[in-house]
Amino acid sequence: MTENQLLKVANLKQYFPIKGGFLGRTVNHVKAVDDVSFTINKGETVSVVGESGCGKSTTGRAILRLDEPTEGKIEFDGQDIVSMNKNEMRKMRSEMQIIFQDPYASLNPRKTVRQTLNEAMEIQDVVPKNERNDRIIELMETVGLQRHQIDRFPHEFSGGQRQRIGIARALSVNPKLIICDEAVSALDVSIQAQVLNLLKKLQREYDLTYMFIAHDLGVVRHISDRIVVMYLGKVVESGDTKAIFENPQHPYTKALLSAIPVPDPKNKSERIFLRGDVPSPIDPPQGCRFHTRCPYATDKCKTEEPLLEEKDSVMTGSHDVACHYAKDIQSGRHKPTYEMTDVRKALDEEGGDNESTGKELEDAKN
Amino acid sequence: MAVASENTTQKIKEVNPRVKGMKDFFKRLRKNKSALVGFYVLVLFFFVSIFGALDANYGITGTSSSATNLTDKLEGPSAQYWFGTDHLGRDIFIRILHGMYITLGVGFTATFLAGIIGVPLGILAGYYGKWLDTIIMRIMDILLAFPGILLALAIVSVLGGSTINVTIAIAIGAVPQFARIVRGSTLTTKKLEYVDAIRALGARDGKIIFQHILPNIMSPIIVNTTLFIATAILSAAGLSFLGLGVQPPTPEWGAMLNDGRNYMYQAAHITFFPGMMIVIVVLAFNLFGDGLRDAFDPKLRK
Repeated sequence: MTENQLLKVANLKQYFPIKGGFLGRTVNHVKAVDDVSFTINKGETVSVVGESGCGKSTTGRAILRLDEPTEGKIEFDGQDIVSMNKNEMRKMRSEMQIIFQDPYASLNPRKTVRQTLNEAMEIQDVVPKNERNDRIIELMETVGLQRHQIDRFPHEFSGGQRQRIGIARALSVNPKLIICDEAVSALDVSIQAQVLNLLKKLQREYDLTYMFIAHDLGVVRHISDRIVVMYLGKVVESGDTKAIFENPQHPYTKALLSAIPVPDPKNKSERIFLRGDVPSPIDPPQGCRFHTRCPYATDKCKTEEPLLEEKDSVMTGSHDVACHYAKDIQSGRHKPTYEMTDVRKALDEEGGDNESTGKELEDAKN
Repeated sequence: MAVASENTTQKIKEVNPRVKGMKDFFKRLRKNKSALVGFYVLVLFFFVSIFGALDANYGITGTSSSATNLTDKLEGPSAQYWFGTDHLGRDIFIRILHGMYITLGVGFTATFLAGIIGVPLGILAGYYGKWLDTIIMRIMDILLAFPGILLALAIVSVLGGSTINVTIAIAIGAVPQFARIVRGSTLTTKKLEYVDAIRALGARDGKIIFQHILPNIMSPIIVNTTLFIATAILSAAGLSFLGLGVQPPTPEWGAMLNDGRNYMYQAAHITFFPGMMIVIVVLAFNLFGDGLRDAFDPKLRK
């Protein structure tokens, strides 16, 4: 099992200092990623999901050391990359690449496709100089671009095409791991499918491993082998795609999954609404970080932090959850204090929005 | 055959995009009439000042800016003296012509010097951040706290009044402006994903700065340079007017204003013509600079 491991993240912490005061001293920290551990095996696609601000992109950036991690261990192919110096890290960088979310910001507007790809190969010196041109054309054809577009600038391409250039750039140095940071979120649905299929094809051809950072669960289900669910800088649940989708354990995962739209107007599935907003990562709640919004929360949740443990009795294997009551909720022994599906109704009643609009309508009629 | 045609299209495409971008840029610039006027005035002045410089130093027309003719002093504009004469009977038109290269030269050189120092400082502060940023920008803040003319005055009074010292004084006063603008642009550009992408590829800082950041912040630098030349010319003229800059009898425009100050009521033309020239040059630079900015950034235009 361990020899198959490509990436191992252990107790990763990424705190960003908040400067303040006259001398710009550090007054506090944003705990963007707080004690996150997971592993990615060779050839696998692991998705990291969670709402915005939960630290999934930060995790990806920390793995590439685009931001220096505050604490923790990152092992790539058995080598500790956090302790590497600049030069060692520079060599290591051809092994792992990143594809960004925004196809408009991820390419230098002043460089043609040829220049962009050539530069990437030059930095890592992966292809001899005289063969680079052929390699560029080969790469472009691999990602579905035409060879006559080689000297075009980014602004002459559509969003989907730009994303393909970004993928070609990542591929140009022959990486083992590609981190897709919301790689398809900015694209139209039809283009999303094309790019996802391209990614899958590339994975088969080049034996790639993906860490897929996303918030679109439909996409995630389609592409990933395993899923890591994050909430407020922590992993709340991780497991095989099937286990997460068919037998979610954590109340947060359940709420997240219920937000997937079902393409059937007759199917009125029960949508779970969470109360309140995500707490600030500057001062996260004690105990279980989800307790402020969890209908199952007890006093224990407010004080004691749950560990990420195997609690699934149906789908055993690698399915871990960080919830004190996962088993009890599953068996129906632990009941919620309020119905999660009724939160919207309760809010409507409290706010009285419907009444006021009704009145306004009547006034308008008169 | 098919391969050959493919190759030719490839070759044509190779030059097209960049040329197209430049064409768009000039098209936008041409549409802006006031910028064009500014540009033509500057081109005209550029050649005139070269001629003036040659004439002043090698005597092409045989006139001299310092030849006095006391019988004709304080005369108004006439066919003989186009802009009249000053209190020593010197031909003001010739003096303006011969002094033009000094005025423009001080403006260009001071701005260029300020850019040479300010741009790298701004990039270093913006790119590396942290303590380096704090140190550089606090020093810039101190320089900015002085009014420009006061700072230049202080520097000139230490170094002594001469053309070179005025240039240095103005350049020092302008460094913080460049540093600030460049730092801001660097900060914005540094956060863009393509810089992250190139960092993830393992590029060295030098490569990132020179190939990815600098080319993308050139437009604010160019615009600022053009606009600052106007300010520099004004400051130089101001310093000379105060008697701290270019020393008489050098026909610098600011010094000429000072010459005419005592005769304002009898012979206003002594101050009027150099003053008018300063206004025209500064206006031309400002119009052209604004036009450049609009052409570089079409999003800002209404």
